[in-house]
Amino acid sequence: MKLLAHSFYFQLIELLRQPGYTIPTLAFPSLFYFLFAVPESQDPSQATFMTGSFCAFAIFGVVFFQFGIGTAQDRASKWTLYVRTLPAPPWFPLLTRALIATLIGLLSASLVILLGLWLTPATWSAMELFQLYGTLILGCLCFAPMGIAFGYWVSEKTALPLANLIYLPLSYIGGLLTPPQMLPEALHRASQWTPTRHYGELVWASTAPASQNYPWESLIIVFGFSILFLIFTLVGYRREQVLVWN
Amino acid sequence: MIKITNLSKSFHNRVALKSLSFSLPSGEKVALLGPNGAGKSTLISLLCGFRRASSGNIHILDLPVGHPELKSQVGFCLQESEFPSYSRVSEVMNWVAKHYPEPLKKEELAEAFSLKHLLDRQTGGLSGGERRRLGLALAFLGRPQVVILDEPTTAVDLENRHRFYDFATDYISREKATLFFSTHQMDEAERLGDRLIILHQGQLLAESTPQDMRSLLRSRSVRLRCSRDLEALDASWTRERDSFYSCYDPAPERLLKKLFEEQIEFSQLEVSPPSIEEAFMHLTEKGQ
Repeated sequence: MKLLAHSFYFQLIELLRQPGYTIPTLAFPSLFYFLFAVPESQDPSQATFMTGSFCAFAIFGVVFFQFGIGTAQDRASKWTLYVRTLPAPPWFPLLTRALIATLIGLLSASLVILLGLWLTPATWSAMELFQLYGTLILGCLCFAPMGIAFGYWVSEKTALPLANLIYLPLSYIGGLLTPPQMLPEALHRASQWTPTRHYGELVWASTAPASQNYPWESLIIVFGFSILFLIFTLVGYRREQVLVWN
Repeated sequence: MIKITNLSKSFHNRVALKSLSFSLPSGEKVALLGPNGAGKSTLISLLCGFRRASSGNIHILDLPVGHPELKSQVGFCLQESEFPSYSRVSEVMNWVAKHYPEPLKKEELAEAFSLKHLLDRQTGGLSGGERRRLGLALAFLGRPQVVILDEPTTAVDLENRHRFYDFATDYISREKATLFFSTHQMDEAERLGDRLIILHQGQLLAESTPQDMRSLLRSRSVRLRCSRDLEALDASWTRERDSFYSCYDPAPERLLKKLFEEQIEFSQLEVSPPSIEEAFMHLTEKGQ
């Protein structure tokens, strides 16, 4: 536990000393929120809905940029190789990365929420905020395998452009940048097949009135995606072991 | 401490290591030598547990490589030293030290590896030699029983090389540990190694003491063309193709003087210091 705390601090300090990396990662969803959601957020329910959407958008940013690109970079790093020789369980660096990524995801989403409170009529009760943050943490954990799988299947050099290429369209089709009902018909139908849409349903439900039914189906689909990407991660890991290390 | 038995490693159709067997007792410092492509890095990566052997076994401290208990007792310095760029040298050392129950004091290592003035520097700003010294310090930081170093002094200046040799020698004798290091530098192998293990084309070419190797390197390689049978004149000569003869001798003047005395005509005389490979080859022939 002490080692985990120290590793968390060690990695966090390393990240915080890279403002050129950390600030854009944290601020990117807020900037998009400010540009595309704030002008459209006239009434409280719509403002709350859009703020939730952009919180989910922030979580997917962490999935691709922290887990995805981070994993791709780690695979090419000699430091990671050295860390493998240290007396810690093999999953330990991954756990530290997950904690850091969750923290960054929550900070990034918090900036969106603060902007929402400041510039829009969005409102949350304490319970709604608690549920929202719970759903955001769930998103980080459930979609971590998606980012890691991505990191195992792309090279360090292609990770960043590919992440951008997938992250933005996936968020758009999933209805995180604009409400799903405003999407063109074809995209609206395609939206049902994306992890972003189903995760969005969970985020929207966390701040919806208690009378509204919880989207259990989306929760199951999110878990399904999580298992699917976990399989991709394991296959990617095995593939790397065979190609590089066998 | 380290026992390698019938170790083989192949990559698709290429054999990198073939039936390698040797053992290293505690308290010994052993250099792994060999030309490029001899299999040194493959062997180190197998010892690190990064690769799996095609056949054979490696045991370190009586445990198979990859055993979780080994990690706290073996210190590694890989061929390339890379660190998180924005972390300070002291932070990297502190973090690595947290993994071990009884690490060495950071100050002792900083002194031994000339890192004291660099402790507050971010690792991204270190030179190649400074990074290497930090990598070496980390290999010893956990107070390991076995230290495995891949080309330890690449990019390290002469003064710091000697500081490292002194520290490693003292550490190995003090802790009764084992040091196994690969190198291309004969002087390093001689200075630090109690024993040399020479690989060639994935096979154990020879095991030698630095003294034997030193005397071999003091010898000269002589090559000339002669129509007479020199092998009959002196057993030191070896017949090659096209009436060429070669020999490998610490005092080639003696052989040449004999040729003059016997009034044997020769041409195309070449006298040169031996390459490490020639010395290796000679060792093998001697072994056979």
